[in-house]
Amino acid sequence: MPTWSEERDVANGSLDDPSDGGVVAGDVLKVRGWCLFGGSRVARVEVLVDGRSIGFARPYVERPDLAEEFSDPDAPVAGFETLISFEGRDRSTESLVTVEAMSLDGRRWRSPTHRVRWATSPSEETDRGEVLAKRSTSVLKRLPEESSGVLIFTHDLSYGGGQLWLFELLRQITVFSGLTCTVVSMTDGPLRGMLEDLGIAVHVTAAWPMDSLDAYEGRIHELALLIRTSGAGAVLVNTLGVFPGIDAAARAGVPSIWAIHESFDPAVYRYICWGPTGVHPYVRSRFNECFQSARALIFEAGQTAEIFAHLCSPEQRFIVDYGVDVDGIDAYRDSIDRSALRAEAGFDDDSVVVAVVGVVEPRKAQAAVVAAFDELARVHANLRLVLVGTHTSPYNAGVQEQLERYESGARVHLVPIGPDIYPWYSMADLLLCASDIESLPRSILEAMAFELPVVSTDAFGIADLIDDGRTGWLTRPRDLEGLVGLLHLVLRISADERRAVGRRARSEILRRHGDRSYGRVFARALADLIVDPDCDLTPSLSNPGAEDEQEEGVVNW
Amino acid sequence: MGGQLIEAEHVVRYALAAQLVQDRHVLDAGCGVGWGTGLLLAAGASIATGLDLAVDAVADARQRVPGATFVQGDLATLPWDDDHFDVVVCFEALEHVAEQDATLDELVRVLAPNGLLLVSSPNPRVYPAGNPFHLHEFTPEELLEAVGKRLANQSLWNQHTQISSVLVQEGRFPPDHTHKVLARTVAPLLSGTDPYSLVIAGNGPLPSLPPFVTCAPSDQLLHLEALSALVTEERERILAERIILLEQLDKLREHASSPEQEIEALRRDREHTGALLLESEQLLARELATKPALQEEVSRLEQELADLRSSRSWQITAPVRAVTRRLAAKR
Repeated sequence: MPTWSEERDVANGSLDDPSDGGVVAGDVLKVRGWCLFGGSRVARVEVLVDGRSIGFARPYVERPDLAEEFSDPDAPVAGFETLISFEGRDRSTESLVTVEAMSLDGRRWRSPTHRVRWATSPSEETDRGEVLAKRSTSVLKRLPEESSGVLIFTHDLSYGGGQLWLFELLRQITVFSGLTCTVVSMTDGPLRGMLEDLGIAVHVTAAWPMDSLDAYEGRIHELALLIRTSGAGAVLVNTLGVFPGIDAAARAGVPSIWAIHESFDPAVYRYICWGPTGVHPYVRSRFNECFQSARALIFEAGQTAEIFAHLCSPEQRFIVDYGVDVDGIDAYRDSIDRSALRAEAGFDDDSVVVAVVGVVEPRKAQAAVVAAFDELARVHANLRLVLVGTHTSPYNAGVQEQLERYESGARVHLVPIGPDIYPWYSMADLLLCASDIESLPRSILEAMAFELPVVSTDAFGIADLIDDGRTGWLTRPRDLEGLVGLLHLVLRISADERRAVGRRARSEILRRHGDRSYGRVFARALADLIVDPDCDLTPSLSNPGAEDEQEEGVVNW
Repeated sequence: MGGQLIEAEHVVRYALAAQLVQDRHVLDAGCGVGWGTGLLLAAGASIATGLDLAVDAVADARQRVPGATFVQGDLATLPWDDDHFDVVVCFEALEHVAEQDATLDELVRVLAPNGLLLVSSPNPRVYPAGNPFHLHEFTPEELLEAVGKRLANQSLWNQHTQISSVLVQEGRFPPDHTHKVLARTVAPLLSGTDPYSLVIAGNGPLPSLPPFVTCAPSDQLLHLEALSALVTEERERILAERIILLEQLDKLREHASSPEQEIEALRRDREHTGALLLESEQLLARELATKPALQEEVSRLEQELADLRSSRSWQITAPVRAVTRRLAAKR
């Protein structure tokens, strides 16, 4: 087994996927491998297809196999990966794939070039699907028409960003309107009880079948029956993967609104959720069709909306900022003794606590954060790191193995996923978000409301929210050198300067997200749809809360 | 080049080539100011010709080496007929040109049927990244493959950087001379640690050459204190630069014609600066951490010496040492 000292100053690596001469099925090319720089660590990994750079791969991905083979501290997370959509591109010729990694001390490792070609797509079978859809529609037309209440489709009821967004929305809708809401979720979770406490009925069903035309069509028919028999006058669908809710609403003849939080290329998203060939071509065509059949697509950030611009019309797309519970946050801050909280958690007054809040998963890049922390901890003696959102997963295990190998690991505090996040915002001196895919993370909004200065990657909507250097700091995703360099500069400035940034961030939150009127906006749009399925949604969705602002003296937008 | 390592790195390539140019017609492709062309001429080349794209460099070369011929021109379109030169060297030039295939084609075209091509490149796996003038650096395998496509026989040479200890008899090793010496390494020359690669190639048989070593003074490694001071100074400079960069960022935000790109570039600079600053501070921290340990070691050795001098055996052997000193003085 190679030891650390034997590997010093030598770069090792491998391009595992695609294999040389391999055949790629589906619309997405997966690039995966690993790299280690003895005596330093990976700064970034660039992917070249046919000699042209297509961006950075996600570094610091878990590799338990390498953890066993190498003693290098970064071995447990030495992997890199990325997904490249080829949907709509010419795939008749083979492609040449190479990666080039760069280390923090400026060395490079280049992989061999692998040649890949594309598998022939199976036949679309759309004709048979259309026959089944027509048969389903004719059955549904025989049911009596009713139009009251809202049926909401969502993916999950655990403590995630998209789930909490929906919970807060429904809480507001119950306050601001008399709409009756029923939630249909693919999986259960702790939010179910909380929704029921609000008087919202919850129906937990199962995952949508994606790989079979017949099973998908049968399920859409069942969901459409559910919509019609529930008497819903409008459907709200939460998250991209719940598109069958939109399809079922169209089948039932009920207007729908689709809230999309995900900043993924659609083909890449399908690959992540259902694998390279997990979506039947007919289901894929239904997925694309849903972007046209929804009455409105609601995004939190303009950059996210841009990803889907080619699938829908400009009139369908709306950006609705969502709010955070500033009053609740202020009440919490007034109720606690920060020093006592920090002391209880083991942080003294001199400690500089950096918090990362979010489920530990590759796209949130906690392994890269831990590597960056290891670099910074060598010169910042009082630095502490808190990862809030640990759970059981291979990636989480990779991060834990990484921490056991680092001398700085003892200065990292791990907090399991849970609802009680506010204490960590209170205790922290800095919030860090290193995600490479995000729309508008709730954790950043809440941290800013806590006056907590934020260092973040500029993934999608985050760049809309943070004015670099004024209300926070931004760096590019998947670049450890950038993250380390920026954090070091931020940690070198005085605590007072950082606090000033935190104060400006809070002002920004109060201006854009302090009024939690997004529930009112949705309630109004859904109510309009129930009255008139063909109504113009622009007045209710394009300038939310404008009239109410004047009445209540609240600065919004 | 002032006797620094970089000079040793340049000399070793030309010194290797010098063994092959006696009475030969030689081209130094990418000759710069003609410094290496002069070495080839001095080594016995019948005609030494240098070519470089830079007008100023060619003018300088003509002054520096009046016995050689220098031509201003492009490596990808050489102004000579086919088979014109017996030996063509192209050192540390290929990575600067955009049309690398065309350049290699040209170097081979002007080479006589049984001539020799010597071409080198920084090895991107080892050579520090970021030289903006290097358009493409060849890995050793790439260089061998690129030359091998054009010439039947090739041999790959790996150029390593080593620290050396040279033992010579007083007055027997004048500077600027080549000597046959015995050399050994104390650690293996590992593949993948060589910052440069060199390929010798031709369609005829290749010469058998021994390894060649050039040495440079190592005093550049001996000034850690000065290095620390430099690092501190650099840190101050970076901090000052950061303030300027932030001010420029503010100005660019107001006035730049393409602000997004400018801001993005400044952010990269800012982060790179931060990373350099961190690296400097890590280095300083390591230096500071080693000092107490060194001082402790010196104290321990001094104590051991004092103990030895006060020991009974040291006192008993004092007459022997006195006799030895007298005998040495007489000699």
